[in-house]
This record gives sequence, structure tokens and C-alpha cells, in this order.
Amino acid sequence: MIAYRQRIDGEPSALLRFVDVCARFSRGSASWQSPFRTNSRANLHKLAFPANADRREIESKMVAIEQLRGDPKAISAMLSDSIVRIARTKDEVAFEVLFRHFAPRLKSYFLRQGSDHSLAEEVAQEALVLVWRNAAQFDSSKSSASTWVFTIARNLAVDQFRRTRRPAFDPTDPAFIPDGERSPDDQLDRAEADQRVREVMNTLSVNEKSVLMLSFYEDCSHGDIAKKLNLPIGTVKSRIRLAFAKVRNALEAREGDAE
Amino acid sequence: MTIQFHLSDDLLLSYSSGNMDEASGLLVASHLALCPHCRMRNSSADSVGGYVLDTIPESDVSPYLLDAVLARVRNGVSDSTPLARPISHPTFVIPEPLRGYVGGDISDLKWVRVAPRVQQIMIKTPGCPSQARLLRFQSGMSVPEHGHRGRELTLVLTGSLCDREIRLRRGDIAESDERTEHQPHAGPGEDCICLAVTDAPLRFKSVLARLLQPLFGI
Repeated sequence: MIAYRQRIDGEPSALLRFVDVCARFSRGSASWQSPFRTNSRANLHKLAFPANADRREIESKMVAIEQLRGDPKAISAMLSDSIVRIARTKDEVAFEVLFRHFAPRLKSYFLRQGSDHSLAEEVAQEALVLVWRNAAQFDSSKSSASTWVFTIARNLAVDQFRRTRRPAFDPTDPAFIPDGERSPDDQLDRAEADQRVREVMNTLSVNEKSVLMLSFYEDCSHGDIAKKLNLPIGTVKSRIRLAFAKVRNALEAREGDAE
Repeated sequence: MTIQFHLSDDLLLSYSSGNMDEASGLLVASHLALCPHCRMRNSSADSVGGYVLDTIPESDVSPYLLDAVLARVRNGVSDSTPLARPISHPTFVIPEPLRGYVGGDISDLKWVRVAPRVQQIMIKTPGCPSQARLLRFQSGMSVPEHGHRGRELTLVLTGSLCDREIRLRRGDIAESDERTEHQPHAGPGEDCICLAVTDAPLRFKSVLARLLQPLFGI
């Protein structure tokens, strides 16, 4: 369970907790503590979310992000919360937190799709504008912030670099077959599933992980990957299959447990 | 109705990573519209994409980029509507995105006869190396025995398609490659309509079928 996937009204959000940590930071607190593990609610309520955060506040947040590096769950919850804040209140501080996390990664992703620096930055700008504009469509129970931003980036990459279309299903189409009714307890939360994917990816061998990742972040066919790694194409295909099967099985086993 | 034949991991990963051609993507997306099970697997593939984005080495971005983005979004319009909840409507047979590509549902289609009791509609995907087409076989009709130079993907939409011991029904996927030689036929009852995507022309075994092949562009 990710503790902060659903906010209860009146309870401080993950981002607020995060701001609290930043504030404690700037007060020179000697021992840093993850905002996602603290229970000092009384203190949290005293902090109002800054309407117009100045540079110093943003900087201190980014320092705290660095401190959260070892806690991907906490980062993920904070990023999700930032998207929700943009949708609700057009919160520019929340947007800057997202920007600082995703802009350098989006640029790398687009560079690996075969673009030069200036085009990669241009497309990253486009992706970030879409993050803001489509924030209301983000559903934290269906995906993590990173997965959601990835799908935006991927669609842009297909459009900009492959100059082709990527047909997608439409959940509002009358012919669409909706997911079966399952109680919320039975359904493996997608954000939780994302976390599980992260854990499984970290257990894959270097070989398995590298082929699976190459197939995602570079404009690489299986043939290109085979050439790059100097492996027969059959080996590349079977490694990718095996690696993805491990990821999928881990998720399906969890779904089975829940039923 | 339960779908029995699903998308392979290879297809799901190519689709999710954005490395798939448009015609094959059309078939994958149309199957996903009908198959909650594969949508769940597709989400897993997207999650790998999210992981990749999170762990990719960071690049330096221009110090002006944030201001550029903020300047654009401050003046722009946000799409503040969350996605509507789907309402299942049994009278539509062809799901999106396919319906948009062929210009309507079953009753709106303009079929072209390719052989006795076989009709088709070519689907335009400009610049795409694969060819998508809707095929309609009258019940009991056999496709001439053929092999493949490349990959052939089939998604059954109505009726059934029998291939050796297997019977494919609505939503089922068949994937054939260079090694497959088969002679599928439409099952009894309703006409079989399927979406087929080929990345190379089929290789027919009979001389007559070979002679007719160039005429009908199969």
C-alpha cells in the first residue's frame, strides 16, 4: 500500500509534508527525516502552502528531493500529489517540483529517440505543457506520475520523430469493453503496481534489464539492439521476453493474491 | 464471451515503447479496447516505461526552459475534464480506433469483392510498411492455403475463424510468421469479419490463387 495514494480532505498532502521538511531544513534542523514517515501532524497544520514561493523555498525543496533519493515511494507520492495540485489549483510551485524532476529526464529520453539538443528541449517543453494541461486526466489510482508522464512523452516521440501515428483505444467509446467490476480492495492499485515493477526491475540481471530498457528508451528495433550488444536477434528477443515475463508475473501473482 | 487468444508480450512491448508501425498499432489498440486482461498487461509495460524515465541519466536543460513553459501555460487553456466513464453499448461491433479508420460501423462499410464469398476493405495508413485490411468471409469459406513472407496478425471481430483445431472468436488474436502455413476457414453461422495486418504479401500455394493475387492486392 502506498500510504498517500488517496488524500483525505483536511489532511495535509504529501507535498505539504514535504514543504514542512523543507521548512525544518531551512531552520537548520540537525536530523533530517522523511516527510512521509512523520506523524507530527500538529506542526504540519501550522504551515500554509505558499501561494508564491520564492526561489529559496524552491531550492530547499530540491535539496529535500535529493534527500529522498533513497525513498522512491516517497518521491512518487510527492510527484503524484504535485500533478493533483496543478489540476486543482494551477499550483506553480507544484509544477516547478515536477519540472525539476522530469525536464532533465524528458530531455534525455528525447535525445535517445534520435533528436539533437535543441529539438529535445523543444519537445520536452511540449511534454511539460501537456503535463500541465492534462493534469485533470491524471488518476493517481491508475498510474504513477512517472508512468503517466512517460505515456505523454512516448506519444510525442512517435509523433515528432517517427512521423507516424500511434492508434489508441478510447475508454469512452460505446464499443469499449470496460474492466470487470472488482471491489477496490481486490484491485491492485496501479500506483502500487508501478512500485512493484520498480522492485522487480531492480532484481533483474544486468543483461535482462539492459535489453528491456533499450527497447524503451532508444529508437531501437530488436535488430538494432542485437547489433548494439553484438548478440543474435533471437537471444535479444528471448531476453526481452523473459525479463518482461518476470515483471508481469510478479504483478499477476499479486493480483492473484488479492482475489 | 471470453477472449482466449491474447497479444504476445513482443507486441505489447513494441506498442508500449512506441516502436510499432501504425497498421499493427491499430490492431493492438482495437484488441485492447475489447480485452481488459491485455489492458492490464499493457499497463505493466507502460510501468516499465515509467521506470525507464525515472532512471534515465539526467541532461542539463536551459535555465530559461521553466519560464518558457510557465509563460505558455499561464495563457493557455487547461483541459479540466477528467475522462468520462465508459458506457458499454452492445450495438457497436467495431471498436475505436478501428471504427474511425474504416469510417463507421458494420452497416456503413463499403466492401470490395476479392473472390467468391470473400470481401475486403483496405485501410489507409500512409507511409506505413504494413498493410491493414478488413476481411469478410461467408460462413464455411476457406482462405486458400498460404504461407507468409513476414508476419500476419489477425483480430476476429464477428463470427469465428477456424484454423486446424483452434477456433477464434470475437476479440481473439492470431499471430502467424514465416514458418506458418495454414488454411483457415470461417466457422458456421455469422459471417467472419476480421482485421488482418501483414508486413509482406502472402504466399499462396495454389496456382489459381497466385494468379488472382496481384489483382486483389492480397
